[in-house]
Amino acid sequence: MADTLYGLLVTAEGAVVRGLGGGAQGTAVGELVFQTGMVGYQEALTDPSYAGQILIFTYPLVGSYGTGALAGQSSRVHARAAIMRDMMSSAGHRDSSGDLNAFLQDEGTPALYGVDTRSLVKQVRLHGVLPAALAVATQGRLPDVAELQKLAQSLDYDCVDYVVECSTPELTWHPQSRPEAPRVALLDYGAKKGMLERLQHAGAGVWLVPSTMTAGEVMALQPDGVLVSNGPGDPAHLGYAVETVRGLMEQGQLPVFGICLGHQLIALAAGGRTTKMRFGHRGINQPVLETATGRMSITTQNHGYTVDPASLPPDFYITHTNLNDGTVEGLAHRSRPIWGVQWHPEAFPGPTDTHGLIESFLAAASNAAVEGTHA
Amino acid sequence: MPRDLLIKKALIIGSGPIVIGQAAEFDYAGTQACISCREEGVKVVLVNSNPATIQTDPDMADAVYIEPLTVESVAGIIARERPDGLIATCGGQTALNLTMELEKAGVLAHYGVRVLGTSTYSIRLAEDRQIFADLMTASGQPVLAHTTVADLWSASEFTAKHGFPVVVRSPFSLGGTGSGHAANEAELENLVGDALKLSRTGNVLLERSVAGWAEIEYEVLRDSAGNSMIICNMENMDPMGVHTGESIVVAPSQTLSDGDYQRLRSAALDIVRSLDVRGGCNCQFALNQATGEYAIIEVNPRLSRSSALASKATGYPIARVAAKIALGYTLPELRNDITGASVCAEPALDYVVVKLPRWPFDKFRSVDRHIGMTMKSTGEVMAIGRSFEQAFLKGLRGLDVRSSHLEVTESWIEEKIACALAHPTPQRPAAIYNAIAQGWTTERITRLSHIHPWFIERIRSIYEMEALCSADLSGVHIKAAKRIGFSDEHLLQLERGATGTEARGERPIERQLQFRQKRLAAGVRPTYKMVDTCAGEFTASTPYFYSTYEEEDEAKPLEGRKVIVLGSGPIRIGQGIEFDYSSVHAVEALKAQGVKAIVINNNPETVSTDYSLSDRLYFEPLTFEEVLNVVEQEAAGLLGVITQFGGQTALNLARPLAEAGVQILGTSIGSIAATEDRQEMAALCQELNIPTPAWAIVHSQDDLEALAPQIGFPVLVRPSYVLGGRGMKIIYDPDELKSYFHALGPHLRRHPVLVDRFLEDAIEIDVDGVSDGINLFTVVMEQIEKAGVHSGDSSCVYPPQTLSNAVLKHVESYTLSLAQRLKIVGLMNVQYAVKDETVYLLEVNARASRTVPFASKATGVPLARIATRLMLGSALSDIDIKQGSKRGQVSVKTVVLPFNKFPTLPRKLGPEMQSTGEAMGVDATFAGAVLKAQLGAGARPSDSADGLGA
Repeated sequence: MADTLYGLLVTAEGAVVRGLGGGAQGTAVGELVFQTGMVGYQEALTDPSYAGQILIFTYPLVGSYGTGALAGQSSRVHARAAIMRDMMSSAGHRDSSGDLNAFLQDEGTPALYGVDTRSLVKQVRLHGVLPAALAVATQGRLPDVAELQKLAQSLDYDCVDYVVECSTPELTWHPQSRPEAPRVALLDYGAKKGMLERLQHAGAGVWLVPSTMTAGEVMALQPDGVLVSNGPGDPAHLGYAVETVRGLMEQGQLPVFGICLGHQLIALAAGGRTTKMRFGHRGINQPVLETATGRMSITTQNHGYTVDPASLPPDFYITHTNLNDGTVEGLAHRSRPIWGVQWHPEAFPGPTDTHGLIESFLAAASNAAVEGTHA
Repeated sequence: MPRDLLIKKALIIGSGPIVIGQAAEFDYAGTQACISCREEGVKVVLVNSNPATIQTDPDMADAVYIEPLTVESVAGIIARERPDGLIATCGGQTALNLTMELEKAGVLAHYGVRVLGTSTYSIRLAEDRQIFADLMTASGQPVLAHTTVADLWSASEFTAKHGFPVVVRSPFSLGGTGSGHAANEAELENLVGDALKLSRTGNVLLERSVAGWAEIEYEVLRDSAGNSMIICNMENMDPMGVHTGESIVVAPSQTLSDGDYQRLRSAALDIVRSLDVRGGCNCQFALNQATGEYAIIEVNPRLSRSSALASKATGYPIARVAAKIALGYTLPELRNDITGASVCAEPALDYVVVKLPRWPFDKFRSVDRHIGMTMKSTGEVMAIGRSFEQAFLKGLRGLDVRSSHLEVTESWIEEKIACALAHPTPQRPAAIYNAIAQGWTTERITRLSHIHPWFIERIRSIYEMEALCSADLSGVHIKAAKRIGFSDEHLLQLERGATGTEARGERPIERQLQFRQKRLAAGVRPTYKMVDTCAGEFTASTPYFYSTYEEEDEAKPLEGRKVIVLGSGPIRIGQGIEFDYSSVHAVEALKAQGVKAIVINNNPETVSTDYSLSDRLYFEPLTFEEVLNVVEQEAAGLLGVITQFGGQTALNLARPLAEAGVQILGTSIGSIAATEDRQEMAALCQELNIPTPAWAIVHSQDDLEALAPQIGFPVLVRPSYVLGGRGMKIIYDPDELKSYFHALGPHLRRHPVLVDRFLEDAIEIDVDGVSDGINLFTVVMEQIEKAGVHSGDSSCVYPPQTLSNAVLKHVESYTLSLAQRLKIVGLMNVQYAVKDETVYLLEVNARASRTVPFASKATGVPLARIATRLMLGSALSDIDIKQGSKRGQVSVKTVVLPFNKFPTLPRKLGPEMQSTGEAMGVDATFAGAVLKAQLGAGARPSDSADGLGA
């Protein structure tokens, strides 16, 4: 069976996992992370926040309902490689246009399967995320373990700017579908398609803003509100983005709402600090508590950094915490319309329980627009 | 909101006797609720008429009432105990209905008893299908076109407008009783007529049929502050039209995309919000996979069979958390004791769970075997694997039925396959398998069965593996086959099939052990993975494992002295919740003695598979291979395996395990074998001077001719090695006997038939004994029906009411000499018949019997716990046995029969067991106890005699 593909994973520390290979042949390097969703594999693979990472699916069967245009969260797969227990062929879902294997092949993404993913997940849990290299090739063509280990060791994930590859190359305008709806700027540091769709669904007009634009350039668009998107990598290394967000936060009454990376950028812009978590939160089952009300929501999350609550300046307060580990899940300015949440209210994949946050943002933007007119 | 401190005492209502559609899951739910309330300092009063439950144990609640679940009886308990609140959601439909009646009768208002958790108002909203449909429509959730009718004429009007087929349902019904599909006017007439008879409201519901759509369930928890979460979703492999209790169910869903999953999830949360559920809720949806259209089918705002399954499938203690919610807590305030994590994280599974129903068609051979909207299954098994195939195959062999794997057989001709695919019976998986073997396309199989192609493809991969292994069973293929879930036994068959050899005189266990050695030599051994509810995201110490074939093994052997207790598998007629009761007692006794208790069982309904109960739970099929795997895993410090409490399923494993060198605790294998060997028993009785009825073992038609006249008529016939009297019959003349043997045909060669002289008009006596081989403690129960009715179907009374002292003395002395001669260590059950003051021995079983819970509760002596201590080496004389029952107290056990589920079954009792459950009545007089037992079994005073318990 000459065309059987084999897969090999080697971590920077030298751990070796061998299994079957799927998707595209080739070698990929990335930070090894795991994701606990039982559905939503295509949404996860195409989520720009996974740029630079090798994604382990904890659910053993991946690919059962195929892949299709509806589920994609960006124009391509951002995860560098995928690891799963079993790669399933599609069994005819109405939204599916093909198998996961072919999809990954087309996207140039190698995949390792037929391995004990639970064991691998436990290693990541124990030692924290770590650099790794994954290769897929036919028999006898796989690179040496030593070669892959070297590759893995060469990766310094925290110092790479992955936002560059994810952000929209140019400013685009998506007009409102309801004339009275607000016009907002979506700062794209790796925004998921689902977020743009949610905003449009509510009728808003959206400027999709490249990561390179400054606060001044954004303000020139005269947005009613700014949504700072999610995205990959260490926020502390995105000085330019922190600068942009700070500039916008200084506008006074302009609503600025950050999600995931956007929430971290707000904290940094306010003078706070972010730290790297051991293995982060990646899944669609994370419970968060709204501290003021005691209300709980189940959320989609994908982050490896977190806001250090002690570092926040006194004019900010914590609005939400994670019910599992107590980490910061939301923050807000005490007097200005600036706030952020660590999770993905837009879902895709995951529960839509907090879609209301996006509507609240748009309502704030509408108010700002009205007040702006009066001013 | 923290716990409501005004609740100081809570009444928990159980579900009564086990019936089809309402089984052990409510013992599990109620037991969890008791523990959950009591750890909050709330006093618990429990009422249930079913003695074979852990929740009715004296130490589960502050006050236990084994009393009928009627308004009158429970009102009396409320008047006496004055509870502040009542939990209605742990006792199935029985408890919900009773709570509504108590409210209607003004009892709750009169005594100021609050219904805790989900309110009666919400329950009514959910259960009145019209009100519910209006509510859902108002909140934008789709329901099917429907109407409520009180007569056939209005029903026809509906079908004239909406067409056929339609679904007919009777409201407030249990397990789909009175429900069905009508495809034409004639069927409509029948169904509506039947449903009207069953309906408590005089109405029946008609609804547009969505047969063929996928059926998806969500288990939801919601608190009084409005926080809600999903515990688990489940996909029925069988499409709409097959009751979820009759369907093969998989968790989580397999064919749903994120979009599908979240839409239904949101709908489920909408439902619990609209109903203001405060606790657990089961939401069932129909999903048209071709279009994405869905509709709400049914909502149960209480704990259910599905919630028990979801709990075991995820490791999430739904009933325990629901009870806390009932006491006022909100979800964010609660943490999972075992994992230490918040209870709010929706469980993430990193394995696949498959549930398979267990049907009683082996007992009820004459009934219609089609499965549909009415539940006919008595129990279920669950299996966990890292793939569907693995879990499915584990589940199949865990059913403990003749066929433990999918088999290709010549009898599956094309027409038969087509028919079995289109009209579901328990044989449908076999039909799919044989269709694949005959080259059918997935599309063709799906077209007939409406089963999603994903499942067909999985079964196809099992078939492909079988083909691969049949051709070549090398180490690589063994590994692949084990990974997909094949048993050693099946692989051995394939190996034999391939080489065509069957060495004579070789014992099956030896062959299996040889194959096992070959497999281990190839480095193929099971690994155990933890069920941790979080897919490995957090460090958990849940003592709950399943086997698979992968790299890492997570079950580091428990330290210290330990014992494995084998459970009894799926609930079936003849082997019910009574055995789970004994298994749980064994676990409790082991722990009390400082010995770690490990449980192996595969029944998701039961208390024994609550991982918080034992030191460790292996959720595995009860097969020789899988039990031996656990024994080897836990070898260090293992004192042995207890097989006495798990019914015939566990006992049947005793000998092969012993042959494999495993220490079986208690009564020796030799003695167990002796009790099962009629010849040996006959010799023993002669030696001990114990009379027995004349008898013979018949191997052939010739034997029969020779032996029958010597025995005389009537005779009781039964195939050897059976459970619950399967195939048993009383025969009055030679011609009838001949035709019985003719009907047995080829089975006769493998399993000879026992022919006993039947003692007409004798009184039967059931004795449960616990012994250390020297001394004996007995509980003697007198059966109320005359001999000839299976002891499992007969009512019985403790203490005996009509037996003379001389008879009782004989019973005592015979039982003692048997216990001593057989060196019984642990439990034994002996059945006698008394005729003309002579006591005849009928049967000895060297294991826990069905009557252990009743005997324990009637006497206040925990037989199974004492037996466990004896098995650990204690002497009976060292144990202080205190009779807990009061002088002059009479206890009666009566049974519940499933005739309403099987209308064609003749309504008569005989030597073959038919009952599904039991109820107990305790009173100062025999008559009073009989009445209470009958009421407890669900009989109403107005019922005619033959309707009792039906």
